[in-house]
Amino acid sequence: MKEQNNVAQSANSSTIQSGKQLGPWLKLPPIALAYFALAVVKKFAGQLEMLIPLIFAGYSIAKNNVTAFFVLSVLLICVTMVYSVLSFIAYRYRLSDQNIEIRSGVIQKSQINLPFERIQNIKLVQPIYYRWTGYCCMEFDTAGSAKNEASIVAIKLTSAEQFKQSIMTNAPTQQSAQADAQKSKSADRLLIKRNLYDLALHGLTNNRIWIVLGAAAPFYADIGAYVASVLSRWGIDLSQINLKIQSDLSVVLMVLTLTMMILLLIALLSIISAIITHYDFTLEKVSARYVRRSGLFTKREVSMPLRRLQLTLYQQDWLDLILKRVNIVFQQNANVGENLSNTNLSRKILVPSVTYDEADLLIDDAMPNANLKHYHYKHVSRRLIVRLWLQFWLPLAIMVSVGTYLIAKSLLLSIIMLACAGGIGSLAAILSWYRWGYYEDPQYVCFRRGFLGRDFGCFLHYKVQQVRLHESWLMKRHKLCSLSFVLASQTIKIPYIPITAARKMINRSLSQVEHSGQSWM
Amino acid sequence: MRELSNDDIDLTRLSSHENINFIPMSGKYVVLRRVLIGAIALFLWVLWAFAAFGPWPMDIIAPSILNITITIPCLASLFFIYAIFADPQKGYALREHDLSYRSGLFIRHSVTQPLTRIQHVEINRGPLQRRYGLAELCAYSAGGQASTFAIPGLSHRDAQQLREFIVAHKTSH
Repeated sequence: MKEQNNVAQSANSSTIQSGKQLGPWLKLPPIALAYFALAVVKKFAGQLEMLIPLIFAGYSIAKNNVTAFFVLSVLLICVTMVYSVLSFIAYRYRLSDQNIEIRSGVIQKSQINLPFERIQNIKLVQPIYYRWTGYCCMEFDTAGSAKNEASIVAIKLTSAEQFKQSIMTNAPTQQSAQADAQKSKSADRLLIKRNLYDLALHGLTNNRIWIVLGAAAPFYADIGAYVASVLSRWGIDLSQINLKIQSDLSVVLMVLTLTMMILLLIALLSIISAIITHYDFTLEKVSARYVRRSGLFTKREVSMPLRRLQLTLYQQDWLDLILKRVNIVFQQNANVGENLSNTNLSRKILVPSVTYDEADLLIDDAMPNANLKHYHYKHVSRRLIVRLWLQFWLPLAIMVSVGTYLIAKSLLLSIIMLACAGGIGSLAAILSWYRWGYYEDPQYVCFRRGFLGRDFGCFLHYKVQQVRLHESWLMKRHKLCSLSFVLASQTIKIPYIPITAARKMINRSLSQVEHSGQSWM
Repeated sequence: MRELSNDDIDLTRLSSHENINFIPMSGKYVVLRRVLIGAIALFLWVLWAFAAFGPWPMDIIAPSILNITITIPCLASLFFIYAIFADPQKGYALREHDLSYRSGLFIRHSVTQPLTRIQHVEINRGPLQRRYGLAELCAYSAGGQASTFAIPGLSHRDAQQLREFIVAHKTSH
């Protein structure tokens, strides 16, 4: 079967070269079975919210009746295997000089016919179980919806590369990009690499542990019981604590130690997850496009033509500010598919935890002359402080004080809480006002925002899709307004700026959009 | 077709956003909304009154439920009053290269959509809108579903002319 397939593949590459004729229908190599099996599992996992009751049921069955659980899981595995074998058998693809056809599906058959000129992007993904076989999965990114995205499930890496080349040269829409490529061939270069130390910092500053904690939620009670049993094995009996520990100090110490240990564990898990996703991170500039590669188990490649870059973000959390690191995010159009969680990953490029100098170099490459960290940003109106306070912090303070009253039944305490929460709220409101800033020149619109951390953002005037202006009755009296720029990747709202400044920015953006004739993608 | 709708543009005030002249929505639209929202509010009041004073013993429906549910017809009435004042504020404007829509009484929103960034245009008409010759124009840009540019309450003829203008603009630029 494998030999047959190799023959078929060499046949297909020759078809590509000679063109003008339809290739034969090709089958996949057996390794693709693993892909299909995993796809079934992923499909299940994707509907996790709906499966939670099922997991609960399964879990309680497992506790009470081991054989029933065993039979059930064997059945599940069998169904998965049969389904993946069937999908493997049903899958066929063929190539001609102009398009690719893919037939797939067991229950619901589908046939995709994808002309080369509609292919925007080609991703080569090599999951870990393909790593030692030399195969990879080839995903085609079209301008259409993310739902009917096409992919060749398994293809030899060498033929995939060859095929990619031939598509990129064939596609008429790519011709200008190709011309650019010829010109800037010498400009192909590695922009940045990340080592383990950088990734560890990234994991520390970007805590993604909440996802893990959320997923483990159904098992909390049992985890708690397990922890208690482990502790009791060490001679600590949680139910006896009140009696055994005499001084309050030791209780405080114990709580502190436990909290620290939990925080440490969280940080560790977060670092591990950062390393898994960003391992061996490289960002290359290949013929006017950015190519990002990373991944410990599954190597992912995302490529983004520079002309499709919509918004550049320069993000710093408070920990990043202390450690002097920056996350750079390059966003391209995000609103194509409905499956946001899936597309988000491939529609933006995140460069994790770079230093200030590296960040300046990256920004300068993507947005020449945008000195976004050193611009003199104009502050937004101080009235934003009042608005934030009234809208968010005051209700929160009232809720906290009412809550305190209901729990502690002490008026004094609740008033103190109100004062504290209100005070913290005012500080927070002042801080977020202080962070807000905007800057505009003939080429770029830049903004700064944040709270404890700070973000800078920058986009070209002509990338704007739509502008929105909001003015409330009170704002109008003070000649203020809020201005939103709708970009293809996200909407940027700049609050409480003078109406004259807003009009100036709107007029500039509109005239560039309408008269420059430059495309947003 | 493009010549037909060309006279709607005021070329003398082209490039400045503050000088856009907004055209109010079709009179039929304003009246239709008043009648519709008024009727809904009235219906909710009747429903509530029926529950409160209907021919059944007093204690079947708890007074606290009645006290809470009275907010529903109250809100509908408030919305009716709001619509009476807010609907005449709605307006749209077509310039040579963009389309604007303004709305809101207390908070004024104005949206400007450059014609070159429109991906496709749609005209939507519900049964009542068909009955009274009205239409809603939706223009989709790459900004996504949340930033769909929509002008409700156009006369059907105006909506069609706008659509033709947009399509002609797209093909000529």
